Amino acid sequence: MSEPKPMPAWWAEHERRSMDQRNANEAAFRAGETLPYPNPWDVWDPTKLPRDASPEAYQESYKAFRKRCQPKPRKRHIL
Amino acid sequence: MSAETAKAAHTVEDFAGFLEDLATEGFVYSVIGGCAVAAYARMRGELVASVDLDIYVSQETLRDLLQWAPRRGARVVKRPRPRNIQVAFLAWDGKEINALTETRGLPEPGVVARGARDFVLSEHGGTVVPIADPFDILANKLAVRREKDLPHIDIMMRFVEEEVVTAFAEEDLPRERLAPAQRLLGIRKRRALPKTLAERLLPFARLPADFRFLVNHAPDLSFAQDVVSRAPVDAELCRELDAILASRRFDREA
Repeated sequence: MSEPKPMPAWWAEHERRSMDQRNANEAAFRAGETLPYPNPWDVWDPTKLPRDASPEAYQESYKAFRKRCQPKPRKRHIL
Repeated sequence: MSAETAKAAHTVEDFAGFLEDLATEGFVYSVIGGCAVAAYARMRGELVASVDLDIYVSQETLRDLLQWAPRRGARVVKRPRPRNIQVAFLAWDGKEINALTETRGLPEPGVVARGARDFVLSEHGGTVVPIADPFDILANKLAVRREKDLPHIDIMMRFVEEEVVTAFAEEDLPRERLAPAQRLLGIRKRRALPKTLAERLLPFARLPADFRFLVNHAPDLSFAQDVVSRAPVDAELCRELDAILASRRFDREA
């Protein structure tokens, strides 16, 4: 079995930066402040819920999501 | 085939009662094999029959199925054994049902079931039977390729080629237009389209993606040149087509 490829040099730097941003977000959330590094997708996702949303709210959000992103219907043939 | 089951010719409708019970119980399965081929053949007015019914299920579903089947009048004739081909044989109403958990050319049963098509049995109260997608059936038959599969391969090739042509002629989005043809190429593990199919697609080519696709998968040089000559006059598209054409090595791809 071949040796796993070593991680590229930039990997550690990227990981450290991501973890710093995540920790800063967590600290801001606990302090009730605006997140310093918000996820841009959260702004664009109309079905996004706050972290403390109730199970009922999650269910409603899922229904809204299903309405927007319906699975492709199966092809149907009559015999 | 076991001695107690008749060597008769069947279609999926002969198993409607069993399949309806499977659906009622929530078993996830898809019909493959000869009965599936027969169903697609019927769509084109061809008559095909099979000696048995093959259903494709996961290991977990098979375990539950083997416990449930005797209560619904199906006798378990043979269970799958380790290191043997993974199939269980059932006898139901004098007919044989094979439940397979593995077969060549198909992805895992759950994936096949998700992509299966619903066949409505109009003479059986509208029972809906999931039959594996025709491209999956073709891939399976090509991979197994026994003597008895050869006519089935011809039938399924004709069916999927019609889907390829219909999509190319009628769909509007480039991806939808090309997806069936791409899938057929993937199944056949070839770069080039069969010549007769390529010739049927060419009159419907109208989008840049269509022309790029046809040059990329042209069966021979003269066809590729024909595609280029019919492409709309557009400098960028012409450059793209020339670059694709230059990348083809027809003598090596045959």
